[in-house]
Amino acid sequence: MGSLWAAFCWRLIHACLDVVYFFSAIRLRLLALCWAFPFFVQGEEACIQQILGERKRLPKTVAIVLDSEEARHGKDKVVVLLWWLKKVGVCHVSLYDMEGLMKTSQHVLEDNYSLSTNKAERVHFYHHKGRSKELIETDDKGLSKTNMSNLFCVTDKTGEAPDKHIMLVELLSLEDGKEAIVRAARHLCTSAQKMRVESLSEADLNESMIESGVGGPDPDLLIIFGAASCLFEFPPWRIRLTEILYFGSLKNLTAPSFVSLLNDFSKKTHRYGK
Amino acid sequence: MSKFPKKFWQDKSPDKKNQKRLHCVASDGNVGYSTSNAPADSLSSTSEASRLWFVQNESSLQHADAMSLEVGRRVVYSSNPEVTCASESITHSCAQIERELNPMLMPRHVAIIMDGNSRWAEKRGLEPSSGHEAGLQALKNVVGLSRRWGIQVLTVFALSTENWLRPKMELDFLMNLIERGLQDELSNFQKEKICIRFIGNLSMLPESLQSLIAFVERSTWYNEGLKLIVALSYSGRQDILQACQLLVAQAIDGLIKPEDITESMIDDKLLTTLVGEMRNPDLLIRTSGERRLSNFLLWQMAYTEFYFVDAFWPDFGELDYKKALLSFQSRKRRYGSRL
Repeated sequence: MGSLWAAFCWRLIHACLDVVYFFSAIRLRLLALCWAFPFFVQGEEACIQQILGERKRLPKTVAIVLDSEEARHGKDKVVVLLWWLKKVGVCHVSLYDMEGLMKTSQHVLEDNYSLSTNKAERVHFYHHKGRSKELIETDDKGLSKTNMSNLFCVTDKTGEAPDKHIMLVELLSLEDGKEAIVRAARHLCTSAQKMRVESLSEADLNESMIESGVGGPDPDLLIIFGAASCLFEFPPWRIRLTEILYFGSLKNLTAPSFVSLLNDFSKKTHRYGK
Repeated sequence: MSKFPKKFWQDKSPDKKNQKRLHCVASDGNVGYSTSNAPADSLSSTSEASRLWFVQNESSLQHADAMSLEVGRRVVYSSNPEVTCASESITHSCAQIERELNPMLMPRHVAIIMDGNSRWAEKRGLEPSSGHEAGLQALKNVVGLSRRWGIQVLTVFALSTENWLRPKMELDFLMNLIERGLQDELSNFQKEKICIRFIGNLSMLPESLQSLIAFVERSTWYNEGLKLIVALSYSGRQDILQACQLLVAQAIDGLIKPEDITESMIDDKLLTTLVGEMRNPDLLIRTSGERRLSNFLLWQMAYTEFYFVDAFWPDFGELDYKKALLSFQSRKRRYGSRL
């Protein structure tokens, strides 16, 4: 009888602890919801607008690095992310995955990018075709096919698209990374005949990459989505001063977490070595 | 072959799961592991050089080169008959640290961006020079830990090309500090068999420092222990550019054709080629909360795992380093491939 009574007391204590932990977990979840509640009430768009209203330092050029799994299964989320980036005023996005799945799925991305047909919401997807610098449009109306170098001359320096309402989305893969530097070095072999090799500068190599059809702006912010916090051979030339943030799985990305990423970025200061 | 004591340590490990494992710190700082009660006759000592050794089972050792083995600061094994031996259990706190790090998952090459010296000093109301002095002490500590934990290459970013924009007084102090540090530590490098090399545009450094660097490199050239690479006046883009320049020059001279230029050829011309196959860091640690490469080893960081820590560099100690390594060890590295 005594042992039964002891067992009963033991189980009662465990049951009480379980109840306490249960309510504690609910309390924590409610607290989390309270933080995100304004965003839920206002909606995603209002959440994004809020950070714009706070006048924080936001990136103009962003790079998104996807590992193979994310590139394969996260296209819908990528489109949502592009929409958010457009909303916060980003004018150039470099979308990278090693295998080039984003390049081959370009039409899927275009079709899924279902925002208003308002001119203010236009996004242009493009990728480098080796030596060709064609710009691929999202719709048949509007801009005709434009030589990339004209646009790039502007984006290279300021990151701004010629039309402020257009966001350029550059699709990159492995061939645009180290292989691009290799092509630039080969290209330099011909142009360097006319000048001293010792006087070749970073600008010359950069120009050679543009001539080879793989130039692009340096991103202010690079976000990595995937299982590993590494660059997966993202073009190394461009990430000299880029802020690198690792998020994890794309499926966990929400408007509040996206805003949190931008908040992290806005807090960083650049001293440029000083 | 030396005679070993038959039972040179007892298994007093508090870790019940790994009761048969003991982690010991050799007197030369290398880490050794063993199962308990390893038969003495299976041990062999082949050379005076101390290296990492690892016992897989009770009947064999891969190699044991330690001249003497200390556990809890007591010698428990020695191939030197003048040094007394004893059987002791591990009590030293270092053993706990080594017990948690898995030697089989240690990164071979760790790169560190030592950021935050000036802000550390500013936070304490001190001059930036005090921050750099404290940063040097932190570096000495990390070098010692790297050697002890079996890391083979440690690359540290001491000065970037952008840092030349700092005030002249601060730069002069830094140059003097580096000179003093090298002079003070040279004997230690020899003792600990550290091979130290410098990469970057060294021609921008004062001549006295350039001469000292050349001397230190020559003196430690054949050391087979930890390879310490110090990036001074270094720029990742300049590194890539100089590699391309060398290849372009070869192409102009007719030694190679432009179409022969490949990624691996550029790889072989980079300044980090001196460490061979370990040229690409496995782990990058950056202190002070910044999350940028700041023009450091751009080409080499393709598959490097990043670990960003908020502490300023002078505050980066053993615990922070261990956390970074444990974080690295818990990650699954796929190098871009699918699982």
